[in-house]
Amino acid sequence: MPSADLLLQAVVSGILAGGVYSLVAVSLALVFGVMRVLNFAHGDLLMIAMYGVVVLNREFGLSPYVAALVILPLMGLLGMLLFQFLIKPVLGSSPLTQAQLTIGLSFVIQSLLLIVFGADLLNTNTSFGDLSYHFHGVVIGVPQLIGFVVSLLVCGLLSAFLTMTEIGHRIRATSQDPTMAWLCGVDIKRTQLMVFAGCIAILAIPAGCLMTFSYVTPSTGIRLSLLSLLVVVLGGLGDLRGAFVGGLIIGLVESLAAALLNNPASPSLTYLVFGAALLFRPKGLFGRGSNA
Amino acid sequence: MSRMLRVSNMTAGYGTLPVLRGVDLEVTTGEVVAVLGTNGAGKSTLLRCLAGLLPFSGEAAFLDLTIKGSAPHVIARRGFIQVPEARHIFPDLTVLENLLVGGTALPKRSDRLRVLDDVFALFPILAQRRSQQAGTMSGGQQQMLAIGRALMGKPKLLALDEPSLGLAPLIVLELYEALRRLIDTGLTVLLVEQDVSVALKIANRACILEGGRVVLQGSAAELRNSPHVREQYFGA
Ligand SMILES: Nc1ncnc2c1ncn2[C@@H]1O[C@H](COP(=O)(O)OP(=O)(O)OP(=O)(O)O)[C@@H](O)[C@H]1O
Ligand SMILES: [Mg+2]
Repeated sequence: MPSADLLLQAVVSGILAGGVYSLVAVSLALVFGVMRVLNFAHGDLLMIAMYGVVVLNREFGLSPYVAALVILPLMGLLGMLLFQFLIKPVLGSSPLTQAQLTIGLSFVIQSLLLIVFGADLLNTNTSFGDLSYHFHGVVIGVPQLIGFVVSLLVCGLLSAFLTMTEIGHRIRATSQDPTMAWLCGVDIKRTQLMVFAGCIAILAIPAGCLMTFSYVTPSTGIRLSLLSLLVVVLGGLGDLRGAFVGGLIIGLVESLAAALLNNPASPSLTYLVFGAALLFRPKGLFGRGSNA
Repeated sequence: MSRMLRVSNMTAGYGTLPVLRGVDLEVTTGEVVAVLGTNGAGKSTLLRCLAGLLPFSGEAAFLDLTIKGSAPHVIARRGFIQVPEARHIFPDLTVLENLLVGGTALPKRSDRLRVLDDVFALFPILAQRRSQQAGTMSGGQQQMLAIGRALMGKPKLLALDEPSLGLAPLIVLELYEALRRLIDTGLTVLLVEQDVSVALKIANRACILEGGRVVLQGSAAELRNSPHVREQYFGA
């Protein structure tokens, strides 16, 4: 049995990591809410941004945070292109067709990155990577803390945007009843394009945060895709609040599983907890689903 | 009097099933035209075609806009706005947010805020409940919200699909009271109703849709006195 200190450490690390997962999951949930497409390549797109951060850091010496800001608009552009050529043609088709397409995209991204960067673990060079606070025996890494705070901040800004601006109202209306939003004069195709591009652009932020304390390989994407899908299903498809809380829970479970089991099978506990949660709350944490 | 809406020989359906079989219809500015008919006659299908949601053959024009090939948001922004059957309010948005989404059809924010005042004046309950989640309101309040939301786009032509559906008689009365006041401001209305007596009280003209065809049309008075209408719709 691990000590209390170790458990506390796992809880703190888990919540810190969970904040970043929350942001990734919220953007995935928003995409699902507005276009009813479950993007199996969301984590792979996040991985593209992570490689982007690595390149800018190694070639130009940019800090991962600055690199993320440079990459953000590029990710938005990529999102636009993907929406126009991949997502738009399958809007409204069967979920199986959509899944095949985005799973295919996931494999393409993974293969391309493998060709370009090889299979090595890549990380960034920063001056603050090892900084940490010590607090009653618990170590809080400064990069992890910044990642958590930044992710929460962006989630808060996104929520404010959706509830306090008229464009935000239109996005939520499109997510609740697209046909009715269309009848109200909302250009729903354009709304979908902007939301998709925006949600892909946002991925630059968790990418920058993750690259201050973690590494990336071409298989990172599929792990993050699975993890964020899990969170979104756990939170109730399309429910942003659920995705946010789900992200924290998954971060916590993952970290506790690693501390308690301390063996390579520990990630499977995350999936077990996920399965159990779905048994008891099949419509997600808040039991609503499908609403932004 | 200028022509606002013209439909000629409209044919439409779902898959191979024909629902509309050559509908002709005209609405001139300032008129209230009722489209009457039993369940399944094709009234909602007609409105769906006119909203740009369903393809059709034949012709349909709203002012100088050809409806065929126009997207729903384009038709709405041009000033032809619908309150669909079953209201379709946005349940998780507040009353105010629902209304603001309705204002999308107006490009200027200052215009939207001005119209918002008019809508609150017409339906004071919406002003009182502005922060309430729309899905938690009563059926009658939701219908008022659906109409208010459509008015937020400052329609030149307002189409209503069975606004009285599922509402208590007293609420229907209140609703039609508000419609009356709207019409008195000069609004042109295309009204789909099953409640023939209510509709004929407020309409100038009406047409009867049966089996996807207009079988009868004329002034409200003519239809009230027509033997066909008396027999089929008033049971007398
Ligand atoms: N989405 C659809 N798919 C297939 N058939 C449909 C669809 N919507 C309506 N129909 C059929 O088209 C016919 C006309 O329907 P419509 O809704 O236009 O009638 P309506 O006159 O509005 O009736 P009500 O008074 O009940 O609203 C009906 O037979 C209906 O079953
Ligand atoms: Mg109908």
